[in-house]
Amino acid sequence: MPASKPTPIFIAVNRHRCGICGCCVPVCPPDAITLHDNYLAVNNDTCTDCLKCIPVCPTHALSAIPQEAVAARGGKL
Amino acid sequence: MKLRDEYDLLVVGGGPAGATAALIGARRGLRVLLVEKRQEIGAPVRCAEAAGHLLIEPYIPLDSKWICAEIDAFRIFGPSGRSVRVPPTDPTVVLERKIFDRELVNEAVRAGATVRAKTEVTGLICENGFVRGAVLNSIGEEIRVRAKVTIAADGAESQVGRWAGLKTTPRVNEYYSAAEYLLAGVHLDDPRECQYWIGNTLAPGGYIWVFPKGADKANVGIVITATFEKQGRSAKDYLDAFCEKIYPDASTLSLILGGIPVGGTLKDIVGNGIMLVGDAAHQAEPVTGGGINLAMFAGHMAAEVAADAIARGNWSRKGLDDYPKRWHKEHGRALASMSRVRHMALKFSDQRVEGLLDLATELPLDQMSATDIILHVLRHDPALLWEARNFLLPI
Repeated sequence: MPASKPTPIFIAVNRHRCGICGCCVPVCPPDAITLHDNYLAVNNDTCTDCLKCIPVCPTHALSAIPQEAVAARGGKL
Repeated sequence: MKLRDEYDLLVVGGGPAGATAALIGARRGLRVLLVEKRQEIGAPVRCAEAAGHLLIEPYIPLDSKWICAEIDAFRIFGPSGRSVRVPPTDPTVVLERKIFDRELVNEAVRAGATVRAKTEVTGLICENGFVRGAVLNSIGEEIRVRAKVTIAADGAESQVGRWAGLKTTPRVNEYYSAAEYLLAGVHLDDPRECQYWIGNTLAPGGYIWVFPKGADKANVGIVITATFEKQGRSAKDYLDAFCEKIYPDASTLSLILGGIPVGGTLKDIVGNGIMLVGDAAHQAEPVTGGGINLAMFAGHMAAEVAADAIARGNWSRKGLDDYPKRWHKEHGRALASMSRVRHMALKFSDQRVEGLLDLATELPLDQMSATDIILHVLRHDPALLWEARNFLLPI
């Protein structure tokens, strides 16, 4: 897990909810989300915290977690 | 099994758009490679599966293996449950996409195309402002394949178009968030009728569909527009609420999720050595989000233009220009109008939807011309004329 990020928010994927459909991929302006064959990857280094991906997800599998909360958990999302 | 170093046409994505492009390209004598990132052509399905079969027939002989139901009519429901029956304008079927997609790709193979599943495009080969092929990851192995023309049929989540420098990001208010169950153990009053449920309390900025797949199974799905959703609920939450009410005892055989760009065709769908087709080019019909037939038209058109361009020795953006021109003339303009209709209809209150349905139930729709229907509706709801000015005037 990344220990730091240029912006205050981490985007976390709930793998139980995520249907690996890629609905969130095209709405991401910096192209920080990639749909692979069997998993979804979010690049938090290029994410700009616009949060557009969160409401479009049909199962609300993505969530925004403040950086401090991640730091408080030892860098784990 | 070994791939060549170079092809005439590289098609990225094995859905209906990509398969049709590969099929037509191969029939025109091009050396075609189609790659599919998923482990299996046709799965996972991301579709409500209704399509006009007369439009499919020119590409692949109709087969009962992939036709689940034939549709006689559509029924539109308001939030209260009141409904109106509308005959379909084109003969329609509900497909078994898993089988259909595979057979369509197989048709391309029969025509001479090469296909690789679980082979992902990880980057493009770009030289002098031209896309000259792609870097593939095929089950862990990196392969560079050069191609004269690359057709990106990689769906709503298309990254190939972005990498080629085309603007593909949809606006959130022109993007459907979709969820669908394949329900079993449902009782359908008429298994030859497709249902649409509309109203912002049921599906904000979208609608719910019930498409029969035989006597006791149905695709029950929803699209919503996230900007119209104010209560922090997801597409699946709304779908669950509907299913709980209408089909409380049904079982779920599958859950399908996805997104559909519905702003009408992208401004730029070609570049030097690159063409976008299907959802990657935002070619779905904006109101319904349906795109199987349109994707196949686009794949066909793009492959023909690519074959002509390759024969002429010019596959620059200009050399491929016939594709956007023909698309705009034959389908693009209609999609742009439907996009304006969608923006207008999104704002309708439930009460207004019910009013229009009330009116429609009193009219003999199958005996009326479109003009008669429009005149009747305007007499009932004159404000519509003002709201519709944006898409009526340019025509």
